[in-house]
Amino acid sequence: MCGATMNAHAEKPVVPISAEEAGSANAVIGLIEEVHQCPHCGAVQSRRV
Amino acid sequence: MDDQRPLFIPVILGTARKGRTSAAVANLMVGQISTRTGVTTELIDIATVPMAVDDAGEGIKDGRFAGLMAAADGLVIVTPEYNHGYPGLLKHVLDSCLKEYIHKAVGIVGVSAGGFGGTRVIENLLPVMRELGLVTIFWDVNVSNVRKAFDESGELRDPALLPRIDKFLRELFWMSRTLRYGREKVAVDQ
Repeated sequence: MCGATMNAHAEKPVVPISAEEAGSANAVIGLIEEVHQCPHCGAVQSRRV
Repeated sequence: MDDQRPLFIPVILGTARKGRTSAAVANLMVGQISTRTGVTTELIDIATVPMAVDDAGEGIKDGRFAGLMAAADGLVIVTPEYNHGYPGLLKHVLDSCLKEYIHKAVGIVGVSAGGFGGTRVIENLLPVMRELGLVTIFWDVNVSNVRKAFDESGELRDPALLPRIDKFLRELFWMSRTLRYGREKVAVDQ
């Protein structure tokens, strides 16, 4: 990764893969995976919230 | 956006079956993409992607395959139709990634031994593409009677398929460029 600020372009609904994730997921929205991409090098990162 | 960076559109050969005729189709697609300026490609043969069979999902992610999916701007999936559906190994490999696919374009090439050109397998694959976050294009390539369409050396017999492939690729490249701009410049909370 080049260190540039990444762009947060997606909030993808995902299925919990653990009991901990299932317990923390919002009752209506569920679990979200935020996806980010670097505008310079194209690197992809994500986090589940 | 780094406009100098070429589009990367790999071609996934979606079957590991011995004697698979889809390989000729995948090689054709790689060849066609390779003639385009500003686009690079690579053949990804799922038969060579190391995958555990006693587990599934992102936990069995293969580093090389995931890296190629992360670097891709769009995908071509060449899939045969097995019993009206897609090969299980293709699904197993595709399921090993997720974030790498989000907001990227995909075009599907259906292959059949009979006359329907994989129309059923393409229809079956669309919901999977959607759930993986891939954006499907409205052009397909349907290769019917694949054993007659290619000769013994894997060369296309009838060039009539090529204009269809051209339309397919033009739309795939447009969608890939547009989505790359979105991934790099358009935030979801704008």
